[in-house]
Order: sequence, then C-alpha cells, then structure tokens
Amino acid sequence: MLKIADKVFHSRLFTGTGKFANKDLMADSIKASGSQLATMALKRVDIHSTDDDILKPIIDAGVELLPNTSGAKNAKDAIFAAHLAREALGTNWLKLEIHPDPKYLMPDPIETLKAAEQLVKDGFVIMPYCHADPVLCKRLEEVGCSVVMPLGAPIGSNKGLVSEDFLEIIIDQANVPVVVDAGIGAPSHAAKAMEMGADAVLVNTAIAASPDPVQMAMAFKLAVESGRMAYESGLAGQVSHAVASSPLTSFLDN
Amino acid sequence: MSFIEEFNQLDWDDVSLSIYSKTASDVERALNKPKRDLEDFKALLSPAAEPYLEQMAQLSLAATRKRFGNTISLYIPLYLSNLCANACTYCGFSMENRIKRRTLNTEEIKAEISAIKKMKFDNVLLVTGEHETKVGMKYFRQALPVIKEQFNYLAMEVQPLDQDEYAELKTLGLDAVMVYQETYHPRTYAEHHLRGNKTDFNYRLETPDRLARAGIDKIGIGALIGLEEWRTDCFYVAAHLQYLERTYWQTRYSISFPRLRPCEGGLQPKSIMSDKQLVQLICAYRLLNPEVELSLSTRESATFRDNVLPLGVTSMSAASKTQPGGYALAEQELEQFEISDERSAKSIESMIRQRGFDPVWKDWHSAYSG
Amino acid sequence: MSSISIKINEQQETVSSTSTLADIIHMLSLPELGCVFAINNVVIPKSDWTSQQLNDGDAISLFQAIAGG
Repeated sequence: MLKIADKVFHSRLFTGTGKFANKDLMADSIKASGSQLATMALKRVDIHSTDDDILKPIIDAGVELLPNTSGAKNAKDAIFAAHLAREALGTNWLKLEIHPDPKYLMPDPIETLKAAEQLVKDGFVIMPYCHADPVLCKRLEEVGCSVVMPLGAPIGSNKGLVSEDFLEIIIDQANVPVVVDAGIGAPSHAAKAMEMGADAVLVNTAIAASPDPVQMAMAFKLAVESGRMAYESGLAGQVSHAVASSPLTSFLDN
Repeated sequence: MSFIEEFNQLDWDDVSLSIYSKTASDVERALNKPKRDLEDFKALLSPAAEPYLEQMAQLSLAATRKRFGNTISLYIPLYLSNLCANACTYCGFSMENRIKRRTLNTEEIKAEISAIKKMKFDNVLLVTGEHETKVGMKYFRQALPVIKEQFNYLAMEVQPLDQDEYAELKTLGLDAVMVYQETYHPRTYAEHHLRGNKTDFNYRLETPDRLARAGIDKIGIGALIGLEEWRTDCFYVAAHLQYLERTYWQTRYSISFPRLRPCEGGLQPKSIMSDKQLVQLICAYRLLNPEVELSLSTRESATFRDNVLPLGVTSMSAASKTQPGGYALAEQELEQFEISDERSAKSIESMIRQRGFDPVWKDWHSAYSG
Repeated sequence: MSSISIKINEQQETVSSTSTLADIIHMLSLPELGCVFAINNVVIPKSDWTSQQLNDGDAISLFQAIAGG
C-alpha cells in the first residue's frame, strides 16, 4: 500500500491517458492495468471541434485524476495551469511538468523548483516530474512536494532505466515516495524499477502505443506487482567479489 | 522534528533479539548484496557473522579503497580543560574524582598549539569536560579564534550546546563536532550519568539534529562500547546515522568506536568486546555505509591500529595526550583515559606510509567557504 | 433578445446578451467536469458560471481536460 498525501493506493502503477487510438481503448487499458491514478492534460477548447470527455470513463472506473501542466514552458505558465486544473477537475493534486524544449521534452529543473515552491504554498499536492538529479529531488522534497518523479529516460523513448544509477541514489536519499516517470518501455523496466525500491511507476506510451494496449496494460500490472513483491521479499544479490588470498585478520588469532 | 521520534519507535529488547537471531544465511545474504540496509547490519553485527570475519575484512577493505583511496586523515586532540560539572562513572574527569583541575588560558593554549604544529597536524579536536559557566560559550568565543588561526580544520568534543550557539561557533571557525550518546539505553544511561547536565538523555540525543541545522560540516556519533550490550548499542548508532543522512543530506558524518578503558574510578564494562569483535564492528559499519568516516583513536594498541588500518578506518588520532597542557608540558597525572598507542606523530606517519597509505594532514573541504 | 460578440480562445462567437458561462458550456456540449474559464488570465470559479456577466468584446479562455501523459 502506497500513501501519498491524503490518499492510499493499492496499485503502484500510475498511467497516462495520452496517445491511445480512442477513448474506449484508453478506458479499457486503464481498467486492465489496475491503475488508480491517471494523468491528463488541459487544452484550450476549439469551439468548432470539441474533444471527447475522457474524464467520465476514468471516474467510473474508480481512478483518481492527476492533471498535468504539460504545455507550460516556465513556472508562471505552470502556476496558471495548476489553478486552471484545480478549478476544472476539483482536485488539488497536480503533476508538475515544465518542458521548454519541445524536441526532447526535458524538464526544466529551475522553473520546476520555483513553481513547486509556490504551488505547495497555494495548497496543491505536487508530484513534480524532473530529471533523475538526486540534489534536485532533495530540493523538491524540501519545498514540500509529496513525491518526486524522476525520469527513467526521455519521454516516449521507451528506453527503460537509463538513469538507473541516479535513481538508486534518489531512492536511497528520499523521504517521500519516488515514482519513476517517463521512458519505461517494457514491463521488465517497470519490474526493475520496483525491485530497486521505487515506490511506483508512471507508464503511458508503452501501453498506449502497443498494438494491444489492454493486454500490455495487464502485463505492466503484473510486472509492477512482481517487482514490488521481489523487493519486499529481499533480493539475494550476487557474489561480486572473490576472496583474496592473503588473510587480513590472522593477526587476531594470537 | 528530531531523531527522538524514530528512536522511540525502536525497542531495545526487540533489536537485541533480532540481532541474536540472525543466522549464517542472513550473514551470507548481507555479504552478497551490493547495497546493505539495517537488517543486513544486524546480521553483520551478530555472533553468526564471526566465522565470516576474513571475508568481511576483504570486502570492507575493497569498499574503503574504492571510496577513500589510500588516504588516512590524521588529527590530534587538544584538551583545553578537565573541569567538569557532571559525574559520569566511566570518566577520569568526573566531578567526583579528586584530580587536579586545570583550564588552559590563552598563553597556555598558544603553547599547546606551538607544540602541535611542530608535529605537522592541521586538524585539531578540542576537548573539554562539561562546565557551563567556567568553560562555556564565553571561553569558547575567546579560544576558538586563537586556535583556528593556526589550524585548517577545527573539531570540538565538549558539552552539548544549543543550535544558535553552534551557529555562532561556526562563524568562529568550528567545522566539526563529536557528540557520543555513550549508550542508547536510557536506563543504563541514567545509571552512569549521575549528576549535572549530562543526565539529560534527550537533549544529548538531539544534539546531532541541532548541529546539522546549525550548518556544521561534520558530525561524529558513537557509543562508548562496554556500557551496555555492545551489539545493540552499535545498531542504534547505525540507525542514528541513517536517520541523520536521510534528514540532513548535506552534512558529513563520522563514527567512532571507543571501548571502555581503565581510568581513575575503575568501572567494569557490562559487555566486553574482543579485538576480533571490534574488527567485525568496523567492517560491519563500512559494509553498511561505504561513505562514512570511521575514526580510530589512540585508545587502541599500536599493534591493533597498525593491522586494522587498511580494513575500513579512514581517520586516526596520533601522539595524543588526554590531559590539558599535555603537549607543551609533560604532566602525567590528569589523564581522561589511558592511552595505549603512545607513538609519536612521526612514528605513526612512517607506519602509515610503510603500509602503502598516504597520511593526510589537511582536510581541503573548507577551501571555498573559509 | 439582443446578442453580443465575444471571443472564446481567440475564436469569434455570437451569444445572447444574457448568456452565462454555464450557457456557453451547454452550447458547446461540453461536460462541466473538466472545463474551466479564465478571463484576463484570472481563473473563474465554477460557482461564478451562472453569475459572471458577459459583455460585448470580451475575450475569454476556455480549457478542457484531455488525454495526456
């Protein structure tokens, strides 16, 4: 069971709602994943071509809403987006993401920290998406973020835990839950993150862009459960160091 | 918020039982893990780990080399005063002991400094008893600048102070503070600390929190081994370290493992720790935490120190005198505890080099903010 | 009934002078949950949807929650 702010989650798999072929497939996949928290974005309405309502199927499935601030290029935009999201969805939970770089979508650490500090003061439950920078994660924690969400690899890249060594440090040092977000491309990546001690993972592209998203969602559900179970049981570890020949403690045998 | 909250979640007897219940397979698993936690530490501390000592030593040596290279930091204690308002059963300076009391004045401090500088040391640990009025902030305010002028790194081992007092001393050049809880067992603690401010267990326990919040660079913790069942006490040290690292992530830490030594007063240790067990402890700390400084004092014999040097220790004192004025003058009667390794700094340096290590006199850490 | 001309997300729209923000939501067949208005970068609370006065020439922003990661 994972506690974040005032909510308790049984599923450690969070999902995104983007990139699905249609709304029904999105809803079915989220249900199959067992996820209890899904992210969504905010967009200016085109009055001549309005979007489907994605929220009703999510809410009907008992899933909590986590609006994100994608589109924000700086702290000011993100703060505005946060207030819009809170009013639109009736939740003070927020995934803070600020990417001024539209090509690689790398998160801006300075604007993110700035926005996080202000939004925490404004009463939001902030889940900040950031690079796997251990010091940045400590700073975000210190300004009051409820979790930290370091990336595994660039958004949509499906490359897995490229930032593994840094995630290890972050997991070791964190006093808030660590959610690995972005870059998870396969259930084995998600399992690995959980085995390492991550508290949860957020997966979007790997499920949505799969030829069979519903089945893939189930695979991720199992992987996250399995990885967590392994972590809780205690992994055996490998023998990496052979015993050298000259004894160091024979001086004690006198 | 402080360590007290986490401390109160631990139960001494449960911890003891847990340590003593560890098996050989717990130990083997702990040894094979790349990253170890407090449960693994219990296994490495337990009697079940004793047959694995050689393997622990090999792993500990490798981990220490990887992080610290072949360097050993050297420091020297400078006893400024043996005046004390506490009565601690194990200490030569206890107010109940009839010994000649002395507090160094500025001239005497300068004489000590002069003698120390001839020995190459640049890292000094100031030690006093605990006397709030005669050797308190007023004294420290006057002594620190005189000493800091001559030495790069200044540590103190004195009575616990308030956070703002530490912050003030930091502006006067204080870099590190050693504050040992002595024992983490409150009842036993009360049996050994009979009078004076040191009877306040909680205030002492929260000292590292105050230090970290005051921005002190390095904090040294430890237990006085022998006051209580040593494995359990040392587990508490490790738990304390873990809490501190997680809460004050910008601070450096150091662990010491003083074993109760004979002193004026003659206290018998409750649990005896053999040399083998001390090696086991040092290796266990290193295997749990590859980054923490492990410091070995002159309480231990020359032979022991020489052999233990490569196994996990990264800091040593040398040529120590535990009486005020001990360097400039050669008085014998006022010792806090008996020194075992009485070799000169030069001898120690030579021994260190002979073993393939580089003695480090100056800690460069404060290069930019000094 | 007279009509006024307003801009919604830069797009021109003609509405009755007594229209409220709630009316606009219904007019566009949008769900109430998930939508939010802002006027001059100030977020309008949902509770003001039926009371907020609209004037000729107003430029309002309308956002909706959509699929995203």
